[in-house]
Amino acid sequence: MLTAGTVALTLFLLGGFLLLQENLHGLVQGWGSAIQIFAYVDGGLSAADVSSLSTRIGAYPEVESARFVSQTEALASFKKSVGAQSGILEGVPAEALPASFDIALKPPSRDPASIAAVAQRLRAEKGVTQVDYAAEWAEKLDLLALSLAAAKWILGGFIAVAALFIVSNSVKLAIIARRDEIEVMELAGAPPALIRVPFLIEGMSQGLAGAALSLALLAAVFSLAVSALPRATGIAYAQPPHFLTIESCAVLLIVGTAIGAAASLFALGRQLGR
Amino acid sequence: MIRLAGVSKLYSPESPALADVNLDIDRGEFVFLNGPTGAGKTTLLKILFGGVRASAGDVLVLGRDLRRLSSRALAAHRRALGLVCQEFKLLPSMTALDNVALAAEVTGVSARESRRRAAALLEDLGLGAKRHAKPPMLSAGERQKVAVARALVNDPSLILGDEPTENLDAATADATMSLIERAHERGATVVIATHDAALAGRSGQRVVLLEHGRVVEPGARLREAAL
Repeated sequence: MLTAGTVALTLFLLGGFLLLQENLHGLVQGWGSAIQIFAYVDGGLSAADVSSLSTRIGAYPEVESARFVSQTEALASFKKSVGAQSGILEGVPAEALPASFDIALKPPSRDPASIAAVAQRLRAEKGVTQVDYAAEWAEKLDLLALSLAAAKWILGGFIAVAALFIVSNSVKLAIIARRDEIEVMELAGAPPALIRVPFLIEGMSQGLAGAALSLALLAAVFSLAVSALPRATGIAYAQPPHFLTIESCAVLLIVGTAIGAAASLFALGRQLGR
Repeated sequence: MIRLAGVSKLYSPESPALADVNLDIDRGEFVFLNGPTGAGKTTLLKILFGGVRASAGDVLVLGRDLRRLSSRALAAHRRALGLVCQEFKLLPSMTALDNVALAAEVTGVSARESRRRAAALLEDLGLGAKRHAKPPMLSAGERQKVAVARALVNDPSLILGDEPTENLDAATADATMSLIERAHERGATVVIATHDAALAGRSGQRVVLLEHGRVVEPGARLREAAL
């Protein structure tokens, strides 16, 4: 039970990385929706020019929406954001703030490279004077995705070795505890498989039980985190996070069982020879 | 049945446990390996059993070359043998019946048939009433009888005994040897290692004398002696 529990903890970490990775796309899309591109336009553009520019921007394959914010709307929005102190803006002419297009990208294009590419194209549009977006945020998201992918393999490797060592020691103790029985069976000519298979099954069962326990732990932590995360960060999900897919659950169970089997074979090789 | 040619066993280079042993034992023979402690009797028995591998020489037992056996083939070799040890090697957590039946079960005999055979043997050895007793509840003689029953349960064609009467009183030692002799009468080849010259001299069987890892007297085969 102790061994299965330890395996569960180690596989819990591995499963956690899998879960994060599976949901990272959704998380990035959620955070990415907060990243808008602002394309400021020349105040002297005619309505026809604005309409034409709006049509061109809306035709970009990456663009989900492009809302034109006139100078008047910009000032009104600014006053609203200032709130009670909006009185200080009395007398400020509407032309003080530039008109702009607030552009949101489609979910598949909310990665840093796509955002930068769209910004580059916007800068080349006639009538666009300046393009702004939260470049730092986009880069951080990119870095987070890379870090998670690397951590999964590096930590996953360490964790797998640790689990292998733990199960191997557990099987070794079981072999030592049954040393007399094994010796009698060997004396009687028991086939090697008859002696080894029970230990192999024991190791595999511990690995499988550990993996199942880790899934249960993951499910519990996941359900808590899903409700707590939006409250803690203030960012709504673009798409609700989902638990591990059936395939990932199966992978985790198979990895646990395989670790148990490998650990048993290792312990059997060390204790009983080949 | 058994052929050893130029067999040596080195645990350390300075003092070989066996040195250039040549020995033939025919099917149906009853042979004592006799000699003082350290003569190499147990090592020779272990080589015949497949417990250790010879460092040099050829070892043919029941038609198998023991120097070239895989672990699976070695297990098959052991299933054709019956081994009686001085230490009994019984599992204390199992009943006498289960200890005997286990030896049959591991060879693939069904649990029901194994227990039937074990019960019949224990009954035959006078332990029918104690078949459900665990080894710690049995006397040394009774434990040795259980060990002999276990060695006989698969009706082996070769029985190996390593000091099977050591630490037993005279009556129990005599009873144990009688059991082995009965198996021999049914056709089994028997090889017993003992330092007890009196035991080896009993009933005029062939005695192979070992000293310092060498065969100093191969003993006369009964059939040759009779000629």
